[in-house]
Amino acid sequence: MGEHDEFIGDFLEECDENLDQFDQDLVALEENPRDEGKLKSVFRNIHTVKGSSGFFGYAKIGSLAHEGESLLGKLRDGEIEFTGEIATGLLAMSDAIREILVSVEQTQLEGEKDYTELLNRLIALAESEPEGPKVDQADAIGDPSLMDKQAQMTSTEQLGEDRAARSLSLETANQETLSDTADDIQRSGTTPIDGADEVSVGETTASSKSSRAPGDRISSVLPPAMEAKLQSSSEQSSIRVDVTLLDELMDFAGELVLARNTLNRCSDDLLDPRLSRIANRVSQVTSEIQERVTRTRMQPIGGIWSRFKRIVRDLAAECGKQVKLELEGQDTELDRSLLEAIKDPLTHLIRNCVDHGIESPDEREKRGKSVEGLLKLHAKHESGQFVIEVSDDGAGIDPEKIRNKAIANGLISAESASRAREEEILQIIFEAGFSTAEQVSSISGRGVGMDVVRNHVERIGGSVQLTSVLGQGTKFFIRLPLTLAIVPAVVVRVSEQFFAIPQATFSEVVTVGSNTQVEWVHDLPVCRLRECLLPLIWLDEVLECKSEKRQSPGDLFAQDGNKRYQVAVIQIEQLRFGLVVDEVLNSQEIVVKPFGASIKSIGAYSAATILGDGGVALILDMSGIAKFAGLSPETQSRIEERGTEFLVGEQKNFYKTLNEGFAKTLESVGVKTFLLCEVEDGREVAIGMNSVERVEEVLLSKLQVFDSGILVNHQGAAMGVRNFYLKSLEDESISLESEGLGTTSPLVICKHAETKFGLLVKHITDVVTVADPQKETGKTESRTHDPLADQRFTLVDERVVEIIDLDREAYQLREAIG
Amino acid sequence: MIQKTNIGQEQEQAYCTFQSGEILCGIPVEDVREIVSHLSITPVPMANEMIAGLINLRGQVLTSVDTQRWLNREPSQLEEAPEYHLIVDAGDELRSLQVTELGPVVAPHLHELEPVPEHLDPAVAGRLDSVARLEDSLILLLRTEKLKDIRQSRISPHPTVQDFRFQAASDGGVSNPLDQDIQ
Repeated sequence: MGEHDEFIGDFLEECDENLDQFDQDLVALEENPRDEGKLKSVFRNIHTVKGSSGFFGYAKIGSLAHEGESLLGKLRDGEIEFTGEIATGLLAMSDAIREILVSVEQTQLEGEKDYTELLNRLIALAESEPEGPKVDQADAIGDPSLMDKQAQMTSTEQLGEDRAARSLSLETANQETLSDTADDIQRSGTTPIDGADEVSVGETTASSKSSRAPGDRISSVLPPAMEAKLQSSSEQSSIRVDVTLLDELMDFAGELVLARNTLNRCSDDLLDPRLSRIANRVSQVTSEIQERVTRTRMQPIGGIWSRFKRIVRDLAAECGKQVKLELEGQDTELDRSLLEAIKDPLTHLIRNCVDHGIESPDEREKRGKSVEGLLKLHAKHESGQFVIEVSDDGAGIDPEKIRNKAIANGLISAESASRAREEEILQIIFEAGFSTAEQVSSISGRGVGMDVVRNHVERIGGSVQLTSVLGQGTKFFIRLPLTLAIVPAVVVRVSEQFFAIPQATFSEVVTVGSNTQVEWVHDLPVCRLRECLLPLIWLDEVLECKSEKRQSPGDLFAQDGNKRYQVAVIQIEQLRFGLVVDEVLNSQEIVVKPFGASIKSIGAYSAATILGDGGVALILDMSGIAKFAGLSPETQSRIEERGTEFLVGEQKNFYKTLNEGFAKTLESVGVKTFLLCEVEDGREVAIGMNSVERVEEVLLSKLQVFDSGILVNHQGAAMGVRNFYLKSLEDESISLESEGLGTTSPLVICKHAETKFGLLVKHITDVVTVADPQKETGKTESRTHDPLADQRFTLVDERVVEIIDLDREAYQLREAIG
Repeated sequence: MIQKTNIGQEQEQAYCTFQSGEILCGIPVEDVREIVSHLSITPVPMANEMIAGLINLRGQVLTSVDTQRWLNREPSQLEEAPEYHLIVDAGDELRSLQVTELGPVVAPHLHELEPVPEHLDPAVAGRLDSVARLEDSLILLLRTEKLKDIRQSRISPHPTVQDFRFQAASDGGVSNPLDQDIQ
């Protein structure tokens, strides 16, 4: 076999692909037995497997495939009707071949297992009585030339395995140049056997790579010549690239991003306009390259979904249910490594939906639903994330059941259970050791599962949640980052060291000072964020950069009365806390670098990255940090060991309820949140928080002034800027220059009325919540001509503050810049 | 303790020698990838004390090992910061060893090799292959593959923060500290 070794990898890959396609098409065929394209494709796939296995001398695969092929041949010729039984038999055959392939991969041998029974079953199926009148052959196939050729080949196959392989190679040659079919068939009968080997190896690999079921795409009504044309053009527009090459390309794109970050830093320091121009250009191109390279690694989710049709079919049969699988957004793309990682959790969710979610046909009928249950997968891109929704129209989840079960299992105390909202209760099914299946089935419900799903999803930086309406169905949401290699992150500083926080977990920054906001609730430091209590974690304390701990307000600001801390507000799963750091620097794209197990095992860092100055920074694993600070539900078990009856989870819930109490009170009276900023002349203005995306420090030298307005390069795109800071807008270029090239100013980035723009201000002063003027005035109708009523002003601490009219600003920007 | 040593082997093994603090060490030359100097090290809070931190080697993030601590020696305060990083291949990943001074490559004769002294701390003894007794010095010959075995020794997370939070919870009163504010 020596000379074949290098081809075996190709062979296995090729067979896998063919079998996957085979399964998919077969399931499709079951739904619509009249689909000739699919039937042809199924035939072709199994034929390829048979041919190449013959070439490698794998007799078992060959014989299985042969029987499958004969069966399909009869189907194609209309001798027998397609039935569910046949589909099951053929699927069993493809499973058997897969089994043998696994053995081939490991040992290069086919293994000991005997498949006689399956073979007999296939033969029996093929010999079953025809149910309908024999259909005219030309009608059934629609493409006489292809049929002729296949008939021809069937006869050549009798000549032995070598021949089969060779004729296969010629078949593909035929497909490529269908115009001269007859001639080719002639040759297939006459070519000498030696030398054919060489041809067939090259051709079979090439063919399997290019002939990914062209029948799928090409309607059989097209004349053969056109079919060939279409096919060859699709071959030319895409090529097959080794995955490792793509991975390397991604690594280099990462290096480029790092170099870009360094260059930008340099250019900011040196303030040379020429350098800054080059840096801008490099920056743009790098972003483009990064985006394209990321895209090359993206694959449509449909690739893994197609497997689910088969899974759902088998599962439904096993549970005695009728389930229809609906797929939406198959073309939505995701990084291939993530795609691989999401396969298992998704399969598990689907199993759960079919097993637990969708009711038996009888029950469905009783409830007035259609007998067939609906399982829906929907993928989409949403705000830079990949979202998959898995929904069923089944029984839904009863929150009461979950509540009772959770209390019984000790996952939550009765008291906090009674306080928790339904939505929160539902998420408990993701906790370890939770299973509601009253009857443990072979498919799911062994008490493991949903927590594994969550762990898997979280490990790749995603999150999973569910909603459910009792009696109407359940919906799971999985959110994933688009790629793992380069992620947006916020860089923070603690004493001398820099850390990166993934942007996905980061919601905002607030500042706490000596006289404001930090309060102690039972020795637990909290701060109030828009009337919600936010538990605070000091990063230096958690990471033991600092020896002393802070237990009272006195300790906190003892050394420096004017010290101000910045708090990064972190949201992970259901946990929200403030991470106190010395400084929140900036948001940037960072390249994720793996590190050794000795550091990974600490549990506080997910990876490392390299900053603009070449230094290494650790990327914080936020759930790890929360765990170290004692804020995670997982610490629960350890606490129970200690005999403490107070759970950390409960503590968390306590604050949560507290917060919610507030939020509800606030909602009911009607409040609005504003970002307060100081602008020119020390005036104070308010910007509606709903429209604020974030705040960035921007170098004034980076603002580019045109007649029509000001533009700034924001993440590789030009963004309009409204100036509220520098007085002489008309004389911008001079005033910007006179302010000094190195000066920075806060830029409030807003998204309003479909427009993204920046507002240049002098200082950010505060975030305030105020009573909604509309609601207020609604109550006091007597007031007329109150400036508060038309939302132009608001009251903050008895002061009247002007609200920036974002509608107007967005409109003016659109007018000016277009 | 059974371990693989150079003693009894036919071929003489060449070692790249270096000084770390006061200790003279040697590491098989074929394990050494390169030597770099003046790299800034990023400390890793909470990591095993044998880990000096992370370095950036042309875009690759490597773990740097504090050689002295790895050999169970407290570095003295007076010593200068290590100048060099010896990048070695420890099996599946590259590691960097902190080195104060570089020495020559030596190939000790078989009769110059002695087994690791019995009385050494077993953990440290396992990291050594043998000891070379040269004319004027003793060189500890290191086993490179042991460099990747450094794991997190402390399992329990920060105890103080934890304890103080439990206390917070066990104080028990669920009185709403913001009552007055609501009213």
